[in-house]
Amino acid sequence: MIDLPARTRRVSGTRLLDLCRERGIESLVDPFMGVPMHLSVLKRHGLAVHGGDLLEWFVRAGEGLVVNDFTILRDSEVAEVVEMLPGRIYPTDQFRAWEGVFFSEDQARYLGVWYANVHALRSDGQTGLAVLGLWHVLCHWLLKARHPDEMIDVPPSELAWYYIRETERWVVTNGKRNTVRRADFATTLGAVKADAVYFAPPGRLGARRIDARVWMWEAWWQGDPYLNVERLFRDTVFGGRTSDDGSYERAVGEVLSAAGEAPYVIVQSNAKEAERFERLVRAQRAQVEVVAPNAEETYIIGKL
Amino acid sequence: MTVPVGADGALGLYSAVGDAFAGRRLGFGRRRAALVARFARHRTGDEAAATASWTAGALAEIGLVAVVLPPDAAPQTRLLSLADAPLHGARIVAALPGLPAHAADVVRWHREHHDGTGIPDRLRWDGIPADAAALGIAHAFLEAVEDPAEPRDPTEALFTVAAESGRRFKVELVRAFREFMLGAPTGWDVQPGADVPALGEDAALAGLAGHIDARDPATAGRSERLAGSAATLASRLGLEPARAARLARLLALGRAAETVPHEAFDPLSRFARDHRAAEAARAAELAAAVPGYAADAPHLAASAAWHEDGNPDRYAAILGLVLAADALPPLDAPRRLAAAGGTQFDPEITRAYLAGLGAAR
Repeated sequence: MIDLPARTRRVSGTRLLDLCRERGIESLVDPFMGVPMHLSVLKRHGLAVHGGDLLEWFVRAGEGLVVNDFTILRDSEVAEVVEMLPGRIYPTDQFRAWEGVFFSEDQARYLGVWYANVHALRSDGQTGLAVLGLWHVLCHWLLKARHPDEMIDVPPSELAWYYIRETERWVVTNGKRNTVRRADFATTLGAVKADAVYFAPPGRLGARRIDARVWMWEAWWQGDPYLNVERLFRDTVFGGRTSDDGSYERAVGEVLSAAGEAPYVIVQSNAKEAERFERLVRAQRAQVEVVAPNAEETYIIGKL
Repeated sequence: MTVPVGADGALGLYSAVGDAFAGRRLGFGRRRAALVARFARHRTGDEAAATASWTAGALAEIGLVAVVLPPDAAPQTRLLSLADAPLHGARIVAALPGLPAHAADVVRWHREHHDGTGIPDRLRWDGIPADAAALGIAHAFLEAVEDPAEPRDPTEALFTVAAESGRRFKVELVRAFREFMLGAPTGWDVQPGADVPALGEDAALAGLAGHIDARDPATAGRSERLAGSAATLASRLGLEPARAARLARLLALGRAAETVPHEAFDPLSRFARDHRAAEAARAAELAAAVPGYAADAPHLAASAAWHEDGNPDRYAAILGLVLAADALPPLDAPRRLAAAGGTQFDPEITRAYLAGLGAAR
């Protein structure tokens, strides 16, 4: 059975909102955005937000929730995503490699259908909403495989419908230009100017410990169940050579240097690691403030 | 176990106001607090966690006081505004001195869902603090038990919670909740006596009234003006100024509901009287629901009565007068209040108020 580590970093948009409001920050960029819920929350509250990531499905999700101001999916369009369309030939065996390992035959077939339907959508916004909504279905199925008797059975198309609808409820406009890009941190930070650069540094072996639900969805989006996402990170700053303290700190330092022009840099850590990041931020910023609402969230805020 | 003194004072009042804005039966917040504190003890055996859970359970919906929606708000406007209620609640709780620091975070994230579809942050999995997730389960359970349309017995309510296992709620936490409930099928809503600190009553009440006042630009800051006027007048009449000020602040509770209409009537008209009577009754109902304020309820209820109706309650008469005086244009107030003395207002109290105005000039 696949390992589903429940530990995930708490990236709270409302907490960031409080930090930004207290400092008059009006725009923020996250070069390692991941699932961009926090950017969506900040956008909803009027901040201009920008994000970047190397995994394409994160960027697609960002196009749905961060960049997209108005586009949603009508009922007929959701139906065209979640069900097989008559007369169309689907690659139903595209994800057969996962069948019997992670998913049932029916689920694997639906993954193929959804892959085809989502790639046929007409706009980036709609595609992003569908990608994010369907990701919840994947997570649900994997969790259900672990707890078959404790979670209710929901037909795949119904579950997909529910999660796509749920996702698109959060499409809002903030009257500002918000962007996402598939790029490494240096490209992202070079491309946009913002009042603050926020990032939550991945763990030292973060690139090798990517959650199955994350890499599987990238594999789904790319249509390749054998996709190895580790290679995407191998040559990046937090890639293969950050297993020792020195290399890791150099990697964080590189990101901080790239964020050098932003008036604020906000590094999210926890009580255990805060000291290390505070030292690294102090090396680059004149004024440093540490905000620690609880043991799991420590924000090291450097000001120019 | 200690007696939850804070629960019977201003903390209880905040909880009741949260219930009122959420449209729930009064006392829902306190029952939710009892349930989640007991569940926290069952899960962790940690008294501090139980106290924080109790506090968060009592105040979970207080953030609704900061959500102002027009009656014809579009569904998405409504959704987005309500999505911020836990955030507002967390800010209110964090601003109350003496409460467990963790309680604000529990309030902030108690409506998050395990699958990442909750509010306000759409946190997922273990990104949601366990105490907040537990409060979400307790809330859903109690909501099912007290559903006005279809109340369920606890066993049925457990099924309602279990149906959301893996979606709204973490599977392991639902399992723990089921074990907890099956282990103690009765008495789960009895106050556990968590060691909740008492709030500074006056400051907390002023803060609560201020939040309610701020919902309408026409009433912003009104409670403090009324409290000042009522205290001065009470002192002039040989009554307790602090009590009059406290009652004046409690009047704001009359507007503790999502659908209270904007008050634009002439304060001395018959229309205003009906409106005032409804507000006074609501304020009295809320105060009566909290032991520490129950004695204030009769004064609040009587505050809408006219002198000619034979209202002997002098505190209530003060409230009625200062409320009308605050709503009248300053230049008109002396003449119109004097004219209403003996009919709407107690003549002695009216004279004392007008004398005070004269002295101030």
